[in-house]
Amino acid sequence: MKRLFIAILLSLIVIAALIAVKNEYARFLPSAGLGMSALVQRGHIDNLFIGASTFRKGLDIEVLEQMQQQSYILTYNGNQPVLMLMQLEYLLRNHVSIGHLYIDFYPYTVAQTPSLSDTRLLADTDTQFKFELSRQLSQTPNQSISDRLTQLYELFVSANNTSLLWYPIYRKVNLSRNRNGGLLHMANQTGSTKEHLDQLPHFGKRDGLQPQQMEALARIIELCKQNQIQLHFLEIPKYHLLLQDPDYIEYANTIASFIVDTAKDDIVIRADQVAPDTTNPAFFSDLVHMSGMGAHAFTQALAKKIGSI
Amino acid sequence: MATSLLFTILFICGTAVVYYIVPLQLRWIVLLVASTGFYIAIEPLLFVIAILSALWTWWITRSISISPRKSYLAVGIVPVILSLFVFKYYNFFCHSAAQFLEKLGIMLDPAVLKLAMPIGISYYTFKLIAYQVDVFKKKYTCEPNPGKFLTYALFFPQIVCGPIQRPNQFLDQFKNTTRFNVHLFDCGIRLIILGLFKILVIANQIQPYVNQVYSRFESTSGLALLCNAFFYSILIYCDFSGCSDIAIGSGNLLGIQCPRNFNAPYFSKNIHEFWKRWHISLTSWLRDYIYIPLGGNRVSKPRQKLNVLITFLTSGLWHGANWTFIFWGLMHGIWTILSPRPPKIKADEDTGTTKSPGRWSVAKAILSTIGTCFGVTIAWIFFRSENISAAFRYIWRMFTQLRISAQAIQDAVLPFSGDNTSIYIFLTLIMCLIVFGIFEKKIISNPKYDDKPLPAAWIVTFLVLTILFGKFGQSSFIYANF
Repeated sequence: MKRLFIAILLSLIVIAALIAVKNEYARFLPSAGLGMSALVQRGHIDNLFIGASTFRKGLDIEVLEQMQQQSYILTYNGNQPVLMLMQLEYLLRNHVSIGHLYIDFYPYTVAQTPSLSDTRLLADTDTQFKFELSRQLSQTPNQSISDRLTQLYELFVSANNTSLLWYPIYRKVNLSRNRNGGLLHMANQTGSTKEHLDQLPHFGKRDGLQPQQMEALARIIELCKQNQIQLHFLEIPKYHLLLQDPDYIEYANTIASFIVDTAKDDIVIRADQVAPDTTNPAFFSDLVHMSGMGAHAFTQALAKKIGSI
Repeated sequence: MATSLLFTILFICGTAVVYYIVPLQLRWIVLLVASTGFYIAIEPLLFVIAILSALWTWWITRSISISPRKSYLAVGIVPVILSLFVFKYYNFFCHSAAQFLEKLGIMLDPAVLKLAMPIGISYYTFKLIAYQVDVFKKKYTCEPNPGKFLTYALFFPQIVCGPIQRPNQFLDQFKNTTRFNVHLFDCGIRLIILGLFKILVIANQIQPYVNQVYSRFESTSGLALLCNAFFYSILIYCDFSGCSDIAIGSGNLLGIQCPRNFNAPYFSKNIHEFWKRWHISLTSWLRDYIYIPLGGNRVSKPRQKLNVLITFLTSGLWHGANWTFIFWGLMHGIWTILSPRPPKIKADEDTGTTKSPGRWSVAKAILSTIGTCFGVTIAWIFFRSENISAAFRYIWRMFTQLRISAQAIQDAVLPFSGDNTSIYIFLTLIMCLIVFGIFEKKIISNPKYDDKPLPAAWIVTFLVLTILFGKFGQSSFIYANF
């Protein structure tokens, strides 16, 4: 039994070392064409889009690349203002200079308690970031000890292990699908049908706008002012059924007013100021996400708008 | 809460500390208190039912031991079976009877009982029956101490998923005078690590995949359905045997030895062998308390076949109150009847050794193993489906829609996470399954390791894989539902 305990102890030490190395140095792996580490390696960007999957599926990088300026789409699934603020702070801490910053204006993310749904963010950042993230997530109310332990385990131990184990394949697959953070070959991807979209369920119960998320929006505005970054909040078009949702309308109006009041400037670009037809089912893959075709059309309109800003 | 893995492990560790502090003759009290606490943590009211059944069994077996009459045995067993029937089967039989009568034009509104099934009722009921029968047959003398008997009946590591340990295997160990059995403790730690690996790395990773594919199998490709069928076979094995390993390992930590419940069943070359390797404690229980009392092999061939069928139907019914389980039992029963018993390997009369198998024999053995595994996998589809018709539709679609293309492969892998990380989860899972398969073949199915602790190198490998790739926080314990 003594031998077993020694073997277990040694393997735990090796695992601890491996995990420490992963948490600090995984971000230095060769870029896979997306995420924060690729952006940090670049050092400067003219147009940076930070958002959730709505941005990834709603912006066509190939259209943005046709502009004279450099663009990068930084997205993580379920990205929320609290996380977007942390990403911005991390980029600034790592000396990334940003010309124009476009933040995802998606009201329902402001109505969520802070949570991490895309662990890819952890592979792109250092240990300090993970500790800060852990602190933010620990403030979630009604969290049981078991939930908290599971969360800590995921943050510091298990996150990204599978993709890091197969990193050469992971990188190759992502490089073939992504460039400058955006998806490639979107223009020809058709969307859904009216029948399909009409039968999709609306989202469940929401508990109002979360103070932590609202504070994060205010802090993003403040940080951009301090660093002389041109800030815009950009709403990606949603299927018209969602835009008619009373919750959505109420939240969107409240957040837009809050941003304008805090920034003392109208920096919100609503979808209807840019958008193609939100009733066209071919432009959407579900109620929230655009199809490749929709993203192409929207980004073309947006590029003109950006040019005029 | 009590079925969560973290709670179970912490509870076992706490109990082990107290267990080794108290004097030898009082240890059973620690186990009894811990078992009571564990059961109450699950559901206090259900504990009352379990303890009443156990006390009834202890009381009646005292009479049986003095005067072993069949009527006493019947009086002892019937209430225990009745409680199992009421909690587990009453609603099912009422609904089935009402449906049958409806077809005959008789409309009945079945009186549905809104009762939660006590966790582990199927396991402790079988333990109690075994005890009564063993005392009746004088295989075991009645335990005079009700406390020790309750410790056997309600032993907490075996509550959730068994195994169904026999009274003589358990109660005799209280006569043991060893203060601390290092060998047993060592074996226990190794088994717990193996169990955690099976549940956290394999079962928990497959569980969401299986749930997703079964929930929308009518619109899933044939290849995905085939993969899912195999994944479910692996899931149910790893989930159940992992839980058994943790239960046996925990028992070992507390000084209680328990025989192995699984022996690399998917390496069986025929269905007879499969049932000697799968859920051994249940299979041997059914053999000793159903098949042999029915006449076993000592009756005419047709009667023998009927006995096999009855035994497998009982096995199916034991797993749950649904026609799918009964059909699953029937399938295995028919398969066992139709499958010829393999001849026993005879040793060479002169040298006393067996001949090494030729190439053809090896190929035949591999094909038989694959065939048995495939047959068992098909039977699991009935076990998992909501109803028999859904299972047939699943199988029909699986074969008629089977195409191999890049798109079909992508669709088959995607349900792991629903996004492009699925491929890495899939590759990691396959890697872990290969490691586990080699371990099962080389170690578990090797009789040399029957009484030895599992090799440390393998255990460390499993520990590392569990820490790095384990999926925590959502253990299902499929067999806890039975």
